[in-house]
Amino acid sequence: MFDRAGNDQVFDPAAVTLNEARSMTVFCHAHPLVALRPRLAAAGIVTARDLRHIPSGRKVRVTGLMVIVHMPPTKSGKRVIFITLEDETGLIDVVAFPKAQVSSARAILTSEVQTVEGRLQRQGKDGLSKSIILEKVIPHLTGSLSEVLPTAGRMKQTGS
Amino acid sequence: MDRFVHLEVQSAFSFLWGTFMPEELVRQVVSLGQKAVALTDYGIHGMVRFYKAAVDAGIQPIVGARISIWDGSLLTLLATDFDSYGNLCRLISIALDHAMLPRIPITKQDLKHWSRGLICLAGGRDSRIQASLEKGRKDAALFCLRELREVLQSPELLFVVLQNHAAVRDAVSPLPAEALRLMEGTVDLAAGLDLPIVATNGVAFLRQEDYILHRTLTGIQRRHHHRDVDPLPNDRFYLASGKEMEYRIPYPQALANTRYIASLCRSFALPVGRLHPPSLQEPREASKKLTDLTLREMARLYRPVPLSYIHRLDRELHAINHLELADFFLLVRQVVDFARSQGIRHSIRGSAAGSLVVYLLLGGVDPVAYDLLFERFMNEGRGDMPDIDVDFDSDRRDEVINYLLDLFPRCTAMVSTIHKLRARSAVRLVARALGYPLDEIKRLSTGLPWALRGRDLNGALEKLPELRNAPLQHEKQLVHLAARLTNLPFQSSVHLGGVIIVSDHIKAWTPVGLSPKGLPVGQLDKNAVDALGLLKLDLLGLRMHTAIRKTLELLEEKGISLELDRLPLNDRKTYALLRSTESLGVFQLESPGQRNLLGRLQPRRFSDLIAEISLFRPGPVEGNMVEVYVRRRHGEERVRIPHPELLPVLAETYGVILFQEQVLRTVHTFAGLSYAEADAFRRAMTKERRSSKMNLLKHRFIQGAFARGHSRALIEEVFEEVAAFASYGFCKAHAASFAHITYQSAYLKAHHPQAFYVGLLNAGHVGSYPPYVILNEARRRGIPVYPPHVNASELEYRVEGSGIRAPLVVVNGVGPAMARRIVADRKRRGTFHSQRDLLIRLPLPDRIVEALSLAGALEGLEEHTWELIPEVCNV
Repeated sequence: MFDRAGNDQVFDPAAVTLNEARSMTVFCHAHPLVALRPRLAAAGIVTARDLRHIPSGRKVRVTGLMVIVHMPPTKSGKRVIFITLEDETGLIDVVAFPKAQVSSARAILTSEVQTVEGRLQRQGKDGLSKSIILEKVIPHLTGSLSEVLPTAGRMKQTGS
Repeated sequence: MDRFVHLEVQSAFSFLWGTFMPEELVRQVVSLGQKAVALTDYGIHGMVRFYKAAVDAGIQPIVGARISIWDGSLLTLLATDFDSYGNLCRLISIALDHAMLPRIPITKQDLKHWSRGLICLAGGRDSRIQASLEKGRKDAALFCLRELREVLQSPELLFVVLQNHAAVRDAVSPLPAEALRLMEGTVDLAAGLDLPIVATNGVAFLRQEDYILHRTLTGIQRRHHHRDVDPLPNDRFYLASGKEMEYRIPYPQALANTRYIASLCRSFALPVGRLHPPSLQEPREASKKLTDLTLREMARLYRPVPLSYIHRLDRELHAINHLELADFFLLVRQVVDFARSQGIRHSIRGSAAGSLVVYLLLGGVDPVAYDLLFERFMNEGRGDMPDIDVDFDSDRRDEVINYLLDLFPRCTAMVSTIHKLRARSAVRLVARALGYPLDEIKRLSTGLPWALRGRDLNGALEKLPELRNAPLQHEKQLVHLAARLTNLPFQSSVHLGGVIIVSDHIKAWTPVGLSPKGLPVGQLDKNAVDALGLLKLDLLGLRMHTAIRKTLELLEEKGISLELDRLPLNDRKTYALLRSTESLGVFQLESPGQRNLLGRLQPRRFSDLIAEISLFRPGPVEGNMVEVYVRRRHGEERVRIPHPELLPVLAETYGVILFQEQVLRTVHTFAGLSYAEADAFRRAMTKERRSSKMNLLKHRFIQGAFARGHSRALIEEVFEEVAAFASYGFCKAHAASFAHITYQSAYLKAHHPQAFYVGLLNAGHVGSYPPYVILNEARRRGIPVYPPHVNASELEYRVEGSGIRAPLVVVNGVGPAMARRIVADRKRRGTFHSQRDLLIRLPLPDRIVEALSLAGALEGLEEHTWELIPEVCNV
């Protein structure tokens, strides 16, 4: 339970965050993935914070709420989908090139919580700029998360 | 040659009625061999593009409109000259209702007053005249025509319409007796009053087979907009050939009169391609005033004033006065002065920020200090009015617009915007028109992108992987119709901030209606305004200004007073924040691509921000300029500049042509072309690479460079480089202006994150990220986020101690009105002591109480027991 200052006093934080997800458009106590993290960790899924310490080129799996799906216009007409996911530790940028879109585009455009697998690409000084080059969406995890996380309507699609 | 002229034609700008664009009409007229055609929509939204397309194709454009009158009939009115066009605009203005649709019938008085010079076509399908004749009531038909003749100021321009849409088997079969009888009756009627007859076909589609599109559009009107509209009764309202019209209407005089009417309209010309700046005071006086103002401001800002600034000001004032535009600059200054007096934040966007005059009058970034080029904004080669676009605090922008509209009430109106059907909405609306149930429509459109850049719907269904097994694949008719209707205009609305200003009466140029908010709105979109050479001021809303204002207000409450516009642009903490890529909420630099680039570019000074904003664009990204720039910026690749003459132009961007201003300077410096020619070169590179104009400019470039003694190989190299990057370049003045706001927002985030987050959250939709993402970041940065509470929340997010308290509206089902009631009651009668107290004072629906409870908004109230939903507890 929250007191007026927002401190968690009595109830299971996992249940509280999911209650918030059900009743509000924002999450006040914690990110809803906090509640699911033990399950995700057991499935080998890393967080945005973990990505800071993982070397470039390594295969990773992440889960996040879909924040933005961006399909900017390109002169060549080739479609690249930029996806921004968010977990409890930060933003995760994912890039889906046409090959990966064949099997994943529908899931990307219709699911609001996503588990994806891909290779980590680090660029710039100290590899500060990170993105995951999408290889596949993990459908069974994505599906089960969508059932428990009521996030409908939060995803934003731009530039499509 | 086909000598028939269609005089009643409604395009897709008679929204959800006609099925074609004006350009398609012109092409079809050309293919039929006809020499003139009228466009008679329910307004003039498509007029300028129709006019230009027709003139380009050698077709005489006849401009008109259809309006409804007191007896329920529709009249077609055609302008014979520009004065009568003004009368047409006034009549349409009278007909516009608050939805900006022409649904108010014109009275006899209106028509009497404003019909001079207008050709009037009366009769035909939508008229009381024909309806009376069909019922055998010739006397009633006669009465209608007499009444019209008496009312019109130019009765000699009244024609009686003959139409025949009856079904015939083929072109040699006799016409149905009923159709012949009706035409005979009409001709007798006209003869009785000594009025001429004219043949028309009430065109709503170009080809017979397009009737289905017309039926679908009217189906959308009926099922989606719930309008009482019937489609045309059959498929014969198309752009028929003259031969077919001869067969359908066997009255040679009626056919010949179409040409006669066209000849009467020959003197009509739209004044396209000329500038029409508003003249609000005598030019010499305006020029003197502008000079005085700018000199005074310069003396205030610089002590002593550097000579370079004096030369620059002199050059700019000379160019402005030469084009008699001093009035225009003074007008913008007047508007900005008003904003300043009211404390409304503003900034200049676009190439105007490169002008010293604009800087002195309106503020922004010093164009001399940042080496911004005036000639990118204004040069003598440009045929259009210069744009000065000003961004204002979104929440207060309407105050500025209202000020301008009130200042010149007869001379101003908002620009209109045309909304086109995009693929997804076309599918959904066509499905509605075809009677699909709503849940089926949702199923069919799931996964369908909102728009399909560069693809049509069929191509998308074939190529896009997410649509491979989509249920839409099996809906052939729906897809066919939606694909045909995609990109057709379906409604007009008010432009975000464009205001047209003319010297004379605005209704001489465009019909004007009132928007639902009560703003006067014209029927010219921004392209039409440009084509007519009219002045358009873009007074835009920028949510980041709102966010910054709200942040500063919160800081004021804490006793922190910041002169944000006077901050030095070298704050270390601000650049450190940007280098960390934690730029969520920072103006222009928060997108995934920009965050990625921040990590690579590692900005350390203001010019890096200008480059950062300019680099992350489709052109530079695809042209691999970004990688080259970043490597050179960090000294990992040698900077290469093709000729020492270009060193001052390209050194700032390490030899990469990044800015449009660099294209102009390269062409000017290397080939000796004037800035006007260099700008024409840049625009040709962007828009018309294969045109003869481009070839001419290339020839001029080579000639000029030769004359300056450069070798053929070097000229080729520089030309290729400039040509490659001309279309990629970004306007540096615009980037610099935006970078200033970027810096300010980053500064606030770096130094006052709590206030900044609250400012962002309370400014509406700022940037790319929804409120929950902003709150999640705040929490990660150690700022507690408190849930909404009936005893603690306000109508907006607020600072509470070291944290942020969410407002009640974040609870599902609690809208602003309900939140206002709760907060107002608490302020009036004190805090709620218990849930019972709350419910006695404010009867709330059970579902709201449940949502408030679940969200923690009733926490601590007596009698309240927290009940978790069982299935959530079990997760």
